[in-house]
Amino acid sequence: MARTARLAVPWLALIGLAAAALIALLVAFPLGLTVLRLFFGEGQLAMTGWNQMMEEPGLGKVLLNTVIFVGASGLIALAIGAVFAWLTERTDAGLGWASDVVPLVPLLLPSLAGTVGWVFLMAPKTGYVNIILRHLTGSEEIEGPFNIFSMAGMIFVAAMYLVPYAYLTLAAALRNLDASLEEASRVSGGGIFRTFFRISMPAITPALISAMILILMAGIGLFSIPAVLGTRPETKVLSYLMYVVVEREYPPRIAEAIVLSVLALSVIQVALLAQWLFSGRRFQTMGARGLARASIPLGVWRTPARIVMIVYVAGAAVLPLAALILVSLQRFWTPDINWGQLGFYNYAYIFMEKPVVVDALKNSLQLGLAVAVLGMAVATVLSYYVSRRPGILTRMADNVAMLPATIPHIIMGIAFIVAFTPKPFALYGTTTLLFLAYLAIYMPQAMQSSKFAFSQVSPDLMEASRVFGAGELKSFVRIMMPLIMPSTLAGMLILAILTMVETNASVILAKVNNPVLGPTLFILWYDGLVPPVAALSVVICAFNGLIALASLYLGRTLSYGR
Amino acid sequence: MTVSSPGDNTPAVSVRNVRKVFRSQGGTVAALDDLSIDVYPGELVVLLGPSGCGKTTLLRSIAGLETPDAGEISINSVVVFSSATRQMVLPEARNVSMVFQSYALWPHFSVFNNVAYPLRARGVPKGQIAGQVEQALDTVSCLHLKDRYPHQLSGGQQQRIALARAIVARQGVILFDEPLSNVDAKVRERLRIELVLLQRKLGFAAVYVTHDQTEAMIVGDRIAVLDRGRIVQIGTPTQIYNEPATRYVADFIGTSNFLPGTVGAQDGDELLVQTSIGLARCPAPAWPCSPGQKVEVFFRPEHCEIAASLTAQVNCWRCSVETKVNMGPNREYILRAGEHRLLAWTTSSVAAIDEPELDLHVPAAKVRLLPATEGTLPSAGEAQ
Repeated sequence: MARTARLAVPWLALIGLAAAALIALLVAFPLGLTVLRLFFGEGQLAMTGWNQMMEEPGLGKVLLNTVIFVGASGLIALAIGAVFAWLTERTDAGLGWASDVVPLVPLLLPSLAGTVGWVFLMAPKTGYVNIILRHLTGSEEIEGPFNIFSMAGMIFVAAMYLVPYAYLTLAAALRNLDASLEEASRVSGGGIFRTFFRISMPAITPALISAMILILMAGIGLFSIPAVLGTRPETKVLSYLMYVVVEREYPPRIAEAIVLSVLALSVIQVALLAQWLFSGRRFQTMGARGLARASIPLGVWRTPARIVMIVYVAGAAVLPLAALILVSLQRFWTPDINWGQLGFYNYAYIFMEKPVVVDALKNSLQLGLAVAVLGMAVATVLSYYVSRRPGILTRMADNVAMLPATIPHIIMGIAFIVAFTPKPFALYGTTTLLFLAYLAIYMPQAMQSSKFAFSQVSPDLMEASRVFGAGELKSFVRIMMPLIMPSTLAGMLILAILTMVETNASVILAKVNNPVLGPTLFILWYDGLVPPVAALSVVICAFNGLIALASLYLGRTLSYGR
Repeated sequence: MTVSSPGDNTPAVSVRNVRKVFRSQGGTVAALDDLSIDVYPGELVVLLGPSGCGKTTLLRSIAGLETPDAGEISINSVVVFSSATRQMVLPEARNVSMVFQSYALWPHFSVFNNVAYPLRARGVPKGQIAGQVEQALDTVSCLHLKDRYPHQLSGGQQQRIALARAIVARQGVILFDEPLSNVDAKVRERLRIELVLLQRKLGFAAVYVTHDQTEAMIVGDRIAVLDRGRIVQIGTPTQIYNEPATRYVADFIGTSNFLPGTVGAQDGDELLVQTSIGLARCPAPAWPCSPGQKVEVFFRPEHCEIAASLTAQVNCWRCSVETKVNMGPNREYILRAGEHRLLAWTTSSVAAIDEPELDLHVPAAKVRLLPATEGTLPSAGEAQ
C-alpha cells in the first residue's frame, strides 16, 4: 500500500542529475580546464602565455584604456540608471512604457548594429549629427565637432548599453523600498535632491553595489563597441586584444589569451568577493511588504525629468536605428542624402549576392531555436529540482549554471576552444561547438526565466493536486506545465533573440564553414561593405523587435487572468 | 448523520506523539511538540491558536505535505506516517481532501474541470464523473458556474468551488486550512454557517485550522487550543469558553478579567483568594492547590453586575470608571480597581450609569481559579 517518498521520486532525481551533469560539462569543465592550463599547461604554457603577454607592445596602455573605458562608461551608466530608476519607481514623472522599453533596448538593437548606427551619426566627417551641427553653426571645418572613433566616443556608446544593467537592478530595489522612508524625509523638510541622495540611494546601497558589479562584468565583456570604434593602438582595450591574439594573428596565441582571460576573471572574482564580504555587515533591505507604490510629486521638475528620459530612449535606440535605416537605403554611404535615389539595393545585395549572409541567417535561426528549446528544457528541470530538493548538491548545480553570467562571452569562447579542441571532442570549428557554447553562455538567462516562471505559480496549486490524488509527475504535467508555459515560451523567445545576435563568443568560435549573424555582420564591416551592414542590421532589428513583442504579449495575455 | 461522541468508535484521524522541528539560524523551533489528537468520524475539530503555534504544520502533516520528525499518524486506521517503521504515504495516496487558504483553484481549468480533478486522478470511471461533479456543485449552489474559470469568480464563489472539489470524492476526511480568511466579513459569516450545515449533512470528519476564535466557536464540535506545538486544552466550545484550563486559553477565547492572588482559607466547596483589591471567593478548582499558592482569579465581563452602589458581601469591588464604550448589543465599562483594569458588560438597552465610581460584583459561581503561570497545568493534554 504505502508508496514511500524514497521510491516515488527517482524520475525527478534522475532528470535533475542529468541536467546538473550537462551543466557541469558545459560550464565547469571548460572554465576549470582553462584555469588549470595556466598552471599545468603542456610545454610551459603558463610561461609562454605570460611571456607573450609581457611582450605585447603597449600592454600597459591597453590595461589603462580598459580601466578608463569600463570605469567611465560604468559610472555614467550607473548615474543615468539610478536617476531613471528613481524617477520611474518613486516619483510621478514615471512614463508607464519607459520601464518596459529601457531594458529591451539592447535586445532590440544588438550592440554591433547600435555602434554602427552611432558611426553614421557621429563619424567626424560624414556623421549626420556633425553635418547638421556644422551647418547650424556655420562652421567652415570639414570635421567634427564630434568624433565617435575616440575613447570619449567609445565611452558614450558603452554607457548607453550599460544603463539597463543599472536600471533593472536599482528599479527592483526601489520598488521594494518602504515609501514612508522618503515621505518622512519630505515631511521633515528634505527637498527632492536631498531625499534622493540622503535617503533613497543610501537605502539601496546593496543594490547599488550589485549594479556596479554587473556593470563591471558587462563592461569588461563589451566587444563590438571597441572593435568598431577603438581599433587604433591608443584606444585598444582588453576584450579587443583578446580577439586579436586569437583570431587576427597567425598562429593564434591561445596561451596569451588564456593568461589575459584569467587576469580579467580575477578582477571580476575579486569584485564579487568584496561584495560578499561587504554584504556581511548588512544594510537592512527594507521589507517587501507589498506597500502602496510611492509617488513623490516633482512639481516643476516633472516635465524636464520626462524630457530627459525620452531623449535617452531616443538616443539609445531611435536615432541610431533611424541612421541605420537611412544608410541601408543608400547605394553608397554618403552624407548627402538624395531622397529620390533611396531604394532596397543593399537588401537585394545581401540576400541575392552574398550567400554567406543567407547561410548565417539560416544557421543563427536554427541555433537560436535549438538553444531556446533545449536551454529552457534543461533550465526548467534543473530549477524545479533545485526548488524541490534543497541541499548542497542542488545549490552547487544552481551556482554552476549561473556562473557564465559573471564571465565575458569572449572568455567563454576561449575556454570552449581550450576545452573542446583536443580529442575526444575535436569540436573546433563546428556548429556543435557554437551550440554548446551558446547553451552555456545563456544558461543563467534560461535559469532566471524558468525560476521566474515557477515563482508565478503558487506552491498551493501543486500541493492541491497531490492531495486530490495525482502523483508528482502527473501533477507536474497536468498542473505545473500548463501554468509555466506562457513564461517559458517568453523565456524561449528571449533566449532565441540573444543567441541569434550573439557576437562576442561567436567571432572566436564561428569559422568560414559555419557562419552566424554576429561575426558575419562584423566581417562585412571590416570589408568596408557599409550600406549592406546597415541593411543586415535593420533586418536583425526588425526580426528581434517582432520576437520581443511576441514575448511581451505572451508574458501578459496568457497568464490566465492574473 | 449524527455527531459521534468521542470514544465509541475508531478515530478517522489519529495523531500520536508527533514531533516536528524547524531549524532556523542559531536555533530550532518545535512546531509540533509530542502532540497527540484524535478526530472521530462525523466530527469537526478546530485547531485554534496564534500564528506560529503549529496548527498549520499539524494539518499539513496529516495531508502528507509535511513530514514530521517523529510520531505516528493514521487515517481511517491506516498508518500513513510512522517514524518507527519509516513509513511515509505520499499525499496522493492518503484519501483526504483539503480546502486551502488560497483556495488553490487551478487557473487553467474551468470550474467543472477543477471539481472533476479528484475523481479523474483517482480513476473514477468516465461515465460517473459528470454526475458526481454536478451533484457536488449543486450542493454548494454553484452549478450555474461550472463553465466559468476561477478568475471570473468572486472570492466567495471561489471558496464554494474549493469546497465542492473537497467533497466531490467523498473522502471521509476533509482538512480546512483557514478557509474563510480571504473573504470579506459578511460573506465569511454566511459561509461558515453553510459550511457547518454541509458538514452535518454529509457527515465527513474535518480538521479545521483557524486563528479566529469566533469562527472556532461557531464551526467546531471540539476545539483544540494550541500553543508552541502543544495542545493546551481540547473540548467543546462551551467547555473551552466556560472552563478554560489556563490563562492562555482564557485570554485567547473571548474577553477576560484576571486578578493575580494568593490562595487563602477553604470554606466548604469554595476557596478564598487574597488579591490586591480584597478577597475573592470562588469554587475550589479540580486541580490541586494549597494555601499560599499563587493563582489567577478569572471572570468574564458579561458575568459582572454593576451599579452605583451594591450590597453584595462577596466579590464586590469599588471601581472608578475610566470610560465606557457602546459596542452595539453591549455597553462596555472600562474600570479601574487598584492597579487592575477590569471590563464589565451590560446590555446597551439598559440606561448607562453616569457615575465616576461604581460597585462591581461577580457571583462566586462565575469565578474560576487558574494556575498563576500558564502552561503548568498537569492535565493540559486531553481534558475529557
